[in-house]
Amino acid sequence: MSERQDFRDEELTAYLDEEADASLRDRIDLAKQSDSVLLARLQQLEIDRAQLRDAFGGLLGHAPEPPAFLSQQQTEQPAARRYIIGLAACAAVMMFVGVGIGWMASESRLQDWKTAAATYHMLYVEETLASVSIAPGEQSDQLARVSNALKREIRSDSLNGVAGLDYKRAQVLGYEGNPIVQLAFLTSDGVPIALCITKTGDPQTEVTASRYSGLNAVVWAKDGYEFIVLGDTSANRLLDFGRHFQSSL
Amino acid sequence: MFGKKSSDAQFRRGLSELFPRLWRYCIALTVNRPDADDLAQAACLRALERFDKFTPGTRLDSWVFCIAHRIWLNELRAARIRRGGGIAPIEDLDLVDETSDVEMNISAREVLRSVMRLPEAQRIMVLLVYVEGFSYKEAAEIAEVPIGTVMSRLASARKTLTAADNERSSKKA
Repeated sequence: MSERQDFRDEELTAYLDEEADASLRDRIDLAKQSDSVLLARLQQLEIDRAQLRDAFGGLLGHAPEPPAFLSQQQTEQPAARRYIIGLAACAAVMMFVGVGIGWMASESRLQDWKTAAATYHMLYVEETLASVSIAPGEQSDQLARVSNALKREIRSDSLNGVAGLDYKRAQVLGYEGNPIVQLAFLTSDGVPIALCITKTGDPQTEVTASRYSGLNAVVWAKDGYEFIVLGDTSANRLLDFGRHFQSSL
Repeated sequence: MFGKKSSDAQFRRGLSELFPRLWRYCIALTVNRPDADDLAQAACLRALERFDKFTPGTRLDSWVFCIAHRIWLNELRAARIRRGGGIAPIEDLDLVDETSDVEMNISAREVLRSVMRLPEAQRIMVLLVYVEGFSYKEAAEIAEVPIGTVMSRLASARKTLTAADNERSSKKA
């Protein structure tokens, strides 16, 4: 009679999953012939994989439709792709501008530009902005470009000097052919914050807390422009930021 | 599967065909339908950004699953915890009840519920290996853990699922 062997649960699992190597498989096969404890342990680990597949198979019919941007044809793809690879930090921006317009227009979940901006901001993490450091001259050039796109002057002193908020960069995004200026900040505790502005012609409204794409936000309108401040932080904190920008911009 | 020069449309079509399975994997990751919707969409967006990093001849599904896994662990889950949402308790998963139509019998719902109650790390491995059919090696690469970790998580999951199954059987008896 062979000496009884102790197998770990992981080894028995690999055996049941046909992932055990030949040596382990042979040892377990041999032990099964005389070891009732081993047989009981194997039974304790037995599951019905077909039942699992069936149960989860039922979920597939409940999946939402694939995002509309997957069915978009992308012209100028090679150039856009090279740009995406070369500028990792700007990759999402290219998607937003180059692909996103068609997607945003047709994607029912993205009901307006603020939702689109929030969905884009969801991909921001601290690392997205932590290494961004722009020289004062370049910062001025950036702000001149976005001011020109927006047809509204954005001055650096309007963005700097907000307690607990470090201004990082400005860029032009697009939604349904209309420019959106995104001004990115990082809080002192590493939370990315975005201030996005677009011309809507909306009448003046007060700073109001809201939520878009699961993110807290504050929105207001002023002089025919709509503003949104987004971030994965408390509504009160965003209200403070929003009131500051409402006054400074 | 896709050559470097293959059309962008072909890559997108591959992602579209994969989307229901990707979304199901996102359900296993998030146990929350809105988060799964957002995660699946974000994973597709990220996959398009990184199209040129996809190696022709390798599996698109495991590549995109790995992207979803990284986004969940590194970005969205942390964000959900920061928002104070934490990890949703199983009671918050309305999906199981949503699927209470004729195509999913009671037994299947109970199995689904048992898996969704597993700890996240075990739940993911069950989905990858037992539902999706990935090998241990492939599952380890998707979740970026050693194969030994895959084995131990599956062993723990098997014990829990068997115990739950026995409990259901004894209640019916």
